[in-house]
Amino acid sequence: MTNALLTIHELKVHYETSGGLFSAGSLPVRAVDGVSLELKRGELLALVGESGCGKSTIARTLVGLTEPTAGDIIYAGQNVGNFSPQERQNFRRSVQMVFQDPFDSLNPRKTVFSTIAQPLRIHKIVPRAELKAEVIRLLNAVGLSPAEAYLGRYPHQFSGGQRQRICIARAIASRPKIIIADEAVSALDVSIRAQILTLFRKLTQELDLASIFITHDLSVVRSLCESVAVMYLGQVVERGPTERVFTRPQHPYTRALLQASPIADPDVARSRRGFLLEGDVPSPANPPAGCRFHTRCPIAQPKCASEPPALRSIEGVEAACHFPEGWRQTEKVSRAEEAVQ
Amino acid sequence: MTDVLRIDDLTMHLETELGTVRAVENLSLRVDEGEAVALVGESGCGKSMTALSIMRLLPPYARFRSGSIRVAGKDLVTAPERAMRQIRGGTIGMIFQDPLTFLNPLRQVGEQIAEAVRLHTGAGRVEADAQALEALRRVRIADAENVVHNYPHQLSGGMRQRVLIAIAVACRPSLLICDEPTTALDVTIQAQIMELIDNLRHELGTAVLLITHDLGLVAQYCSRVYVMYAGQVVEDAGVREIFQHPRHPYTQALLQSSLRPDRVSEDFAVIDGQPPQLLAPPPGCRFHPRCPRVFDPCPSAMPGLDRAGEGRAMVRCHLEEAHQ
Ligand SMILES: Nc1ncnc2c1ncn2[C@@H]1O[C@H](COP(=O)(O)OP(=O)(O)OP(=O)(O)O)[C@@H](O)[C@H]1O
Ligand SMILES: Nc1ncnc2c1ncn2[C@@H]1O[C@H](COP(=O)(O)OP(=O)(O)OP(=O)(O)O)[C@@H](O)[C@H]1O
Ligand code: SF4
Ligand SMILES: [Mg+2]
Ligand SMILES: [Mg+2]
Repeated sequence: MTNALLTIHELKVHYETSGGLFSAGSLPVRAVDGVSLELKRGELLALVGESGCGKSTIARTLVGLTEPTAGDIIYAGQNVGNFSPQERQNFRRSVQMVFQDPFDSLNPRKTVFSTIAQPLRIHKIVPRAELKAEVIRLLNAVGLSPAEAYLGRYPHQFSGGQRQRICIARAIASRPKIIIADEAVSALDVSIRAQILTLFRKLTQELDLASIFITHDLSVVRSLCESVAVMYLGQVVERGPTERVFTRPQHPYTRALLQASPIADPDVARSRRGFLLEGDVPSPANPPAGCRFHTRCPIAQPKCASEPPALRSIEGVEAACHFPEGWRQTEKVSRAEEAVQ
Repeated sequence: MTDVLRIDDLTMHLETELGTVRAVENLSLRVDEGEAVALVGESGCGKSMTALSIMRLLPPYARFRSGSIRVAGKDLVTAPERAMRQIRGGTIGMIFQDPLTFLNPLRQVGEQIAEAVRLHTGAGRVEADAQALEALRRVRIADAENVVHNYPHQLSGGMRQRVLIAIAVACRPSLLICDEPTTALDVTIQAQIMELIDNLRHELGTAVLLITHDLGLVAQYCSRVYVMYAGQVVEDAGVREIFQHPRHPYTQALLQSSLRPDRVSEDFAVIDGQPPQLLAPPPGCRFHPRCPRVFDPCPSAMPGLDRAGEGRAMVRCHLEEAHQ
């Protein structure tokens, strides 16, 4: 825990649903239910998991758009909950967010210049006289050059990939230490996605930025992020170095996610078919008892329905499963059968 | 093999206030009985417009300029609207990215399936209700007896997409057009839906035209692939040929920029430049402003769609002509 830039400790975010005081059964949505994570300086951490598992809620909590219900956020060794207003403002400046949709997150009536100059002005990053030079520097940094030609343009005059670059330029304008990218490449074509991923990799290295990269696309994670946390229904079920998690997943949900991710190779793809999770993701307002995954888990045992498994170290990763070797054994059996045939 | 769909040299333009959008140009495409064929290409290249041309669900300012779309002995370009109503949902089923826009929010899902059955098979009410229940079971909806009485908003995204598939296959179409059927869904639900479509293909012999930008799904589920760029097919080949020996520079670039969960890519390959504007597509080869292998004839002459050798892919690129 020593060299962590940001630590999330036992974070809970529950949304009260407006069922009214007397309406029975309006349980709070336990969007994030006891999540602990660590982000090191200059690290690219992926946060993956299915829709509704709480990824965006964590992001929104980190940038102060949502209040935590319980738990702590520790930044550079200090608890954010105890910050003075001044310290809080510094923290806000240090953690910036890039959203999925570059169409929604840019004001259509503002030029590129005023969009990017705004955080520079608010946080007084550079003297007024250097504003323009700084905006140009930022546009060049995200690969929009010649930047001078872009300053007076409006968002609709840019492509999706260019707009996403403008959003990134705005995010790095306040010289943050952490960028949270929430599905920042999901809406983009593969070729444009490649530009943005290249940019992320470059900025991480050159500016020593740490990033939390939220996505459900495991192929992006494999190539971009050094570590990964897998969430299911408001909790982290597995985390560790990406290579470890992808090559030797310990949690059956991680394994199911990996196997459900299509591979663009006809020979590999055809041999991999036939591992399917049944059923839908349960409601986070009323998560299953015991292991939250037990209702869909192919290797669940009676214990899984009653006792929640805790995260523990297994084979170089941390996973929350009572029977992490379970699927390995079923696999050994089927391999043996195959060998016999 | 007999074809269930055969498009020859189709050109469809959208006459908008801003000018002519060349959404589909000289496109030829064939789907055989029981086959799964993919149509891929970047956003805005005309995939959905091709699908909507087949269904004749185009905006009023759309114009067919040339070509034919042959289904069950009819040319859909010229077929009267009455015939189209039998084709849509009868001979051809279609499922879309967003099921909610095609489900009536005020009616129970069972009724909606039964109505499609009555319309296309002339079955009576009782018979249609029974077939609706059967269709829901076929798409593996647990507790189908109760789900028939549900309204769309009471179902999850994956279940809604299943209901749409149930409607689409209730009348046993010979072709199912799937336009980004799983883009709005989670990967584990996506896998369920894709397996379902594939099983229906095997069980009922329904041919599938899968429109997607996910090359992983193509590799996993399709046997032939059409690659589109700026309103045109630029390459058409068997799935292994496309993935292992892509011939068109755009296909090559597309494959290079796709990432895999089972492999680390050190570089993210970028296709330089902007996707083309279909209001004013570039002259010559439409890919030439972005093509890494552009040469003399490309900026002025439009390459034809040539066969790259006997039994091989069709490729729209001057390099192929140069080789021959
Ligand atoms: N303001 C809110 N009020 C009530 N419930 C909410 C609110 N925001 C989110 N939720 C619920 O909290 C859960 C977690 O949502 P969140 O947006 O964090 O998920 P996510 O992992 O980002 O999903 P996605 O991949 O779809 O973006 C979901 O069940 C969601 O419906
Ligand atoms: N209703 C419309 N009016 C005018 N132009 C349209 C209309 N719908 C689509 N277009 C244009 O027609 C072209 C083809 O669009 P189409 O929807 O077929 O693309 P697509 O390949 O399906 O893309 P995506 O992958 O984003 O769904 C695009 O350039 C688009 O801007
Ligand atoms: S704890 Fe049990 S139910 Fe949960 S993932 Fe492990 S085996 Fe499956
Ligand atoms: Mg989200
Ligand atoms: Mg489309």
